[in-house]
Amino acid sequence: MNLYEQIEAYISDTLSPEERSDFERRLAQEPDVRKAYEDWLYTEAVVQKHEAAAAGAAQLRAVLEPLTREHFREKAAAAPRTGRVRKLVFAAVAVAAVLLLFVLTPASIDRYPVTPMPNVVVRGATDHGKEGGQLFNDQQYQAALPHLKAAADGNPEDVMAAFYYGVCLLKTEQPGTALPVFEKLLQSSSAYQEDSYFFAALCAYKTGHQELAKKYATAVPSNNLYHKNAVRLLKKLD
Amino acid sequence: MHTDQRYIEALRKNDSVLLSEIYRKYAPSITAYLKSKGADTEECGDIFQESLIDIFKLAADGKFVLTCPFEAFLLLICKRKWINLLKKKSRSGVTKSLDDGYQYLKDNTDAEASAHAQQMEQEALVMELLEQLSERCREIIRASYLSDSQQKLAEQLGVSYAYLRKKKSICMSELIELVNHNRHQS
Repeated sequence: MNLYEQIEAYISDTLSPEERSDFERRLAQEPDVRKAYEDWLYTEAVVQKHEAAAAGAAQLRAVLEPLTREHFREKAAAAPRTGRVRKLVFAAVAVAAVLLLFVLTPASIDRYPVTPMPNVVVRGATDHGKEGGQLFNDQQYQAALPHLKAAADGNPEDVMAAFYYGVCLLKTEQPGTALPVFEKLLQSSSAYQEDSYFFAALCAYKTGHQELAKKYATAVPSNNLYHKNAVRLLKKLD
Repeated sequence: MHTDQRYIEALRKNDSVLLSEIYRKYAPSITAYLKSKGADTEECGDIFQESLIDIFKLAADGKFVLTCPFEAFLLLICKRKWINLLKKKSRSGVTKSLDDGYQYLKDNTDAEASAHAQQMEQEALVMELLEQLSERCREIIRASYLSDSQQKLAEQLGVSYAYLRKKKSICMSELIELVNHNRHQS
């Protein structure tokens, strides 16, 4: 038997007791034998892992593809320009006016991105979380509120429902009620913990708790989606 | 273990909430970075998605422990995939260093992320070299790790148990030597 046949026989436990102890002695004393054995184990483990992962990778790809399409699609090409110059000038003036209004509005801290609630596009959804989520994604915050409250109250572990319930409260001008919701999310290590720092800061600001707002806004990590909003809020607090 | 290990588990368990969060948090910055290096939107999407699948394969057996922020690791994998794509396309016109513009520079994060990436690349090399073996060798090696019993496998392949074991040792020695040879070359 050559070395690799011996390794195979040792691993598949088909060596005689004498052959086994002889091979173990060589493993202990001969670095080349030891290395060949370790190389075998490593290669075997890698192949086994990747072969077993193949089916899972296909499933994961199916889940990721819609997300990739959603996040990496090209913006629709601009429509060809038609019409008279006068119309264009009018449109430009209108856009400028809207932008000016946008910049000068005192409530600029309310301009924060809201990501759609995931997993709600289910036909015939009957549970509160999904129904509330669909309404939330349609920006019907007042209508979404009781559903998301029921989902969050019904399952304290459901951090997603709690988070979107909190955002819904904020959108319906109830920052005082929203603040403890976000503060509870800060205590967990959930996916919504980092985002909750910004929303807690905003709620604290709107309810006049300036120091608390500062504390939470400062804690928003620089790589967080809401970091720019937190910086804007901190500037208002200074 | 880093707190971002939750993203590794999300990939292993197809957790759509956390997977959405990965895209929401990291796709914009990684896209901006890759575009600054010449990638188009479709290439950015492919690189991002395939990097996540590679991380899943690395962690598939549940033993992988993330020791750096997920963003740093993902960014490094995306960077390397883009470099490989450029090499394949022999694309010119990228004058800036690929490390310009966007790096994750907290503590020794880069070193940790590089160690993870190296592990991933070594495993990918093994699987790539497996493809260079004969069809019979590939069949025997693959099937032997998916089958409960080697004796049953021998029956399925229409060979004796002794032949299967001898052939497997020959195929494994070929694969191990190929891996060692390629490692020394790189």
